[in-house]
Amino acid sequence: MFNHPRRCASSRPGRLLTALTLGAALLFGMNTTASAADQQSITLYAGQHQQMVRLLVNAFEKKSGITVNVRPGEGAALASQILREGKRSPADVFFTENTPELVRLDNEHRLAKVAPNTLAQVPSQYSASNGRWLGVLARQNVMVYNPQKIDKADLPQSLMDLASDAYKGKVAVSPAEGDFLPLVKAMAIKHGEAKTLQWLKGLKTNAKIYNEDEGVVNAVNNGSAALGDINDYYYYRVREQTGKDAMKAQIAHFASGDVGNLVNVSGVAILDSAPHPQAAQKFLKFMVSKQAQTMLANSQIDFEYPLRPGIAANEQVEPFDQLNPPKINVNDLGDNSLAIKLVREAGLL
Amino acid sequence: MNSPSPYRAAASTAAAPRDHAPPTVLLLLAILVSALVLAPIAVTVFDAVRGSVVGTLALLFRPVIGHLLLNTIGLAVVCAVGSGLVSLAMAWLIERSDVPGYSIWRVLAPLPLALPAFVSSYAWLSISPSFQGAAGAALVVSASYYPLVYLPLAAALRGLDPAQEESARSLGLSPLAAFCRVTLPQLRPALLGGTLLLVLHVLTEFGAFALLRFRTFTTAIYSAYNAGLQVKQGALLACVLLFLCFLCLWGEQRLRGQHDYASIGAGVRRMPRRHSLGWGRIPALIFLGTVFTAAVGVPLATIGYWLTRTDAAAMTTTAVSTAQIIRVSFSSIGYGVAAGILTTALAFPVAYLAARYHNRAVQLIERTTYLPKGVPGIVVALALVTLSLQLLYPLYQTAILLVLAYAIIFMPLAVVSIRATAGQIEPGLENSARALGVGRFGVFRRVTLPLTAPGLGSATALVFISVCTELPTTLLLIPTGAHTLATEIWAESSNFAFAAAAPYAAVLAAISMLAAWLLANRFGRAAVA
Amino acid sequence: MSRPVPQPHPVAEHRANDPDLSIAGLRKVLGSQTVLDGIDLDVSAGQIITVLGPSGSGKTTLLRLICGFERADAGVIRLSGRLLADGRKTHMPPERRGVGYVAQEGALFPHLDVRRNIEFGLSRRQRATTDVEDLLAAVGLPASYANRAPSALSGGEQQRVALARALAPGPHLVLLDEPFSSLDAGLRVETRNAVAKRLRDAGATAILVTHDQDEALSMGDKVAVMHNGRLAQVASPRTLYDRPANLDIARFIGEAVLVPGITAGDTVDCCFGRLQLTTQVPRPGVGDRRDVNVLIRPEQFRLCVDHAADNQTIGSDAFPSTACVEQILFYGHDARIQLRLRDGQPFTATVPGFDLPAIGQTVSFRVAGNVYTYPY
Repeated sequence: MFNHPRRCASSRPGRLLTALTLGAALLFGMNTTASAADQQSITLYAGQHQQMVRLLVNAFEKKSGITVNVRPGEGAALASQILREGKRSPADVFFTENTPELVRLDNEHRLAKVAPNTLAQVPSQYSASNGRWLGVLARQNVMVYNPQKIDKADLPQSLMDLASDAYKGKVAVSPAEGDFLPLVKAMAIKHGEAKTLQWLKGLKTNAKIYNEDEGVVNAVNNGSAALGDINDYYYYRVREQTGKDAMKAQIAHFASGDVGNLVNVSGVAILDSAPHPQAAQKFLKFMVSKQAQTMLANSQIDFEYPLRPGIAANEQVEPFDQLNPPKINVNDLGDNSLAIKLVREAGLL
Repeated sequence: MNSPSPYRAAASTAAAPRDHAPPTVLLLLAILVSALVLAPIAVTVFDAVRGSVVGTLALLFRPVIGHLLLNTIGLAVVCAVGSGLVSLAMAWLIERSDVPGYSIWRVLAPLPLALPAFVSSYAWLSISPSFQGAAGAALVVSASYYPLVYLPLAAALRGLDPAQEESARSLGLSPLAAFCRVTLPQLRPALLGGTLLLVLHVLTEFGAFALLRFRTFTTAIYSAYNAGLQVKQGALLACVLLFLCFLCLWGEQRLRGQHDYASIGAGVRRMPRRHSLGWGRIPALIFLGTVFTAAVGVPLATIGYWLTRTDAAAMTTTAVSTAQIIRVSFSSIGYGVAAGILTTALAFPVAYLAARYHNRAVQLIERTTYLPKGVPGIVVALALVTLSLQLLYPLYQTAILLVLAYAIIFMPLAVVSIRATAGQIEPGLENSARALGVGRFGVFRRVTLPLTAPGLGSATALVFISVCTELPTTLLLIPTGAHTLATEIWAESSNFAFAAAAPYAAVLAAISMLAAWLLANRFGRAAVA
Repeated sequence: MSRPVPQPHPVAEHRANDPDLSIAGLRKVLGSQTVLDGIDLDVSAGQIITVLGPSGSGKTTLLRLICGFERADAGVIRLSGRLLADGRKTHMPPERRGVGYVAQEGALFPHLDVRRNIEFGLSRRQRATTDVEDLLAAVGLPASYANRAPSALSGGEQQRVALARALAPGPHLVLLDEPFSSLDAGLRVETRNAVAKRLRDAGATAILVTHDQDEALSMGDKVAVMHNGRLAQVASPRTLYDRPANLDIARFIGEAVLVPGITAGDTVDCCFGRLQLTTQVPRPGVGDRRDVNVLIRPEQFRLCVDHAADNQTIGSDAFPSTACVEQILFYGHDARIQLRLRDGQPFTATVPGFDLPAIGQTVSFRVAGNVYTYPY
């Protein structure tokens, strides 16, 4: 190389320039997907599990010819992000696992109305009473337990009991999960704030803390915890992966009408600042269509109950009409602010 | 590498044009780069201390933070001790014993570094969910990062004059006593330095812990963000983590100066006589084999297994198409190349000044650019989200912001490797060129740039590899609708769709190992470490 | 001297003229290569033996076998009556041999200061009674060096400390492996002299391996020449230089001018005229009219450089031969002059540097001293 200084000197920057051009081209290439802002595309902030979102999006794209740009994330994080973005937000549609995030956006007046005939596709108690968000799917809160670690007869009757001394060191929970906070709110509705806080503090001494429900299911399955509190679909998802034979953990229910049997709703809404409201409405309509709801119920990836009447749930889960949830409307769950306050006060966050 | 021995420092100081002031343009560029690098730290600290002092203190002294400290530090200690012992045994076996195939082991031993920890985690997790939790996290992270300890140890062991141990033997010490009293003390700086680097990686690791569902600061920061909590809470966690990281970084940088124990007396050293293991060769082989299998063999075999299990892709809907894999691969490569070039370009002024001008300002700028080593990707990402939302909205959710984030995070890699080559150019060469009638820019283009080219190349390649295997920043900052190999593996495997994740994991492992191999071949093995 | 006198070893009751170190039939094979073969060597107590040989001749291997760093394949090594090695049967580990070792670059422990280095091989009790300052003084270093780090010492100082360290436990034998090879010329001579003096003062038995002839000849009581894994000759420096055992050694040690000749009684006739043979040792077959190779050292040529009266002295009895000066290499203290006889025979003479002929000049010369011959 030192023998040909001339050639080096001329070719090196040349090559560098080529590389820079190439890099710039790639950069712009990567950007086009993000900034293609024609009417034939919408941006979806999706807090639900990515695979079911993809299933849904692919079917919608095929049917409507509208491209959906998905920004995956956790529901609460995406809601916060939309609030921080303000009216500049690129999001059209916000789809999330739990309604409190939707309520939070609604409280900040960030949601547009859902088309009435879309709302009419599902029973009204699962959507916003003001029509600003739409219930799509539902699932129930359950106990998961390891029969080798605890006898079925010794399981608690109420969610409240998880905080009692009998279950010290045996419980697994994931208090940062979006699914846990609605339980806290429901508890506060049923038993009052003071008792809820006491319950949370008891849980803090009793429980092992995990980041997500998958962690709870696995902990119970491998015996590091005797029982845990989860939304049921995590159980089926983990079982699907672990294999039914290796799945030692079982599902159990609290007493009929207990807060522990709470039904959580996956909901969707259109942002007031949505750049493409018409396309967004089409997407919502599709989500509660017979096609989409049947497809989701039959997939082995979601295990949620379709809210559109007349569509059978996945054969692995218990029939929807056999559930014994507490008498609490999803609208009453509100946003998570109280739940977060209590959980933090108890030292769980 | 960046903190030279007293001898080398003396030599380069003598050669440096002390009386010259650094060129203003370069200095301004370098200041800009260090400002860029400092921005996320500043934003994080600002976010953390905003609001009332009482509120901040209350948030800081929460039991959760104590729990996280215990978890994080506990794991770091376990990994450090485990990796330290394993590395010491490996380094000795490979460099000083007659274990069969030591020259092959020498090539294999650093290989786990080319395999991202979160890919290994994915592989172990797919074997059994019981690898979740502290034990699994300790296993996977130790297996992935032990080369950080092994490499400096092996280098130190190679650098030791075998005559020292022999002298100790002739002075009446048994082989074990000679090793303990003569060799081990001299390996200490390398051992400690490597261990601190490993601890730093444990502190900043995100993907592996997230997949293995082990709670450390990084995953807690992410989960605080996911729970939609106030920015302040995550930022406070980040500040505690930054404090731990900077402590490690500071210790490691201090130790670097002591690495050159071995360099008294120059001249050629004899190849050390390899100790005969006798019957011990078989357990030694089993030991090396086990470590390698755990670190590389199992992950690769598992990926291979899932690749063949296309029928088991029941958990995924989007049956992974070849077109999709190719698109995602090119996206990863694109980000890698773009970030590699940008980072190298930004690092150049800093590295060049640092190699040439030894004044306080330049030193300060250079030190600053090493800081991101101690800043977890997730912290940078969250800070950039805040920054772009509040000040740079046009960049929000664009590829440019993500590439900028990469540039910040991997700046130290680029600065170190460019500095190493820039430091070797004799100023006399540039002076000669000036004397031959070539202008300042001409000298830069025709002399400086071609001579630093190897450093620029290795910097670009290093950043490229690191970007391809980066997870948390990519997750948070990637433009809507875009995917990289890392985000796909993450998406599929965090939902237990192991077969669906396998093709992406295979491509990522192939790209990363190929790039590491090319890098090692072209720029020397030291470049990889 | 307050240095701890080497404790007499219990077995060391051998008589004074018995060899201290005795090596017999030593062989070492590395892979397919025989590195050492048939080595026999006796070293008396207090003697310094230098082992001289080109690199790769096996001299370092010999030393490492004596130290115990390598195992012998055959042969016996005894030290002061103790069996150190016997083929593959017996191998005493290095730490029990009582053999001091000074490595090529000293191999000081860089993490320990000079004092700790010197005390390294001493037991706790010995440390209490050992005066490190005295040991330092004995190798010509000031007492203040005790607290220095090895990296703060020059190469020569490091070597002296290494010697002090090796001698501190009072070893039966000290082995030095090219201890001065990494030092530059000036320092080398100075350090060499200091080390030689120290070894003699201590009455130590020592073996010094080197590829430097000056070093081997000046330091050794005996010089062992090693070639291709064998000892070619073991002799005093004088004998080795004056009467090398064969032509190879003659060429290897110093410079040799070799010309054919025919013996005539105790003289030999060659192109330089009739020269006196070395007679101290009668050699069979020499004396008759035999074809031989005559060995002359370049410094044996005495030139007559009289610029004024060249024709007078040419062919005189004092300087019977003449030759033409072709080239002069001037070194200051002396010079090497390339000459050619009229019949075309080239040769080199080494002469003092103060009075030199001119190139192209014809000079007369004679051969001083006796010469040695080898059968043709």
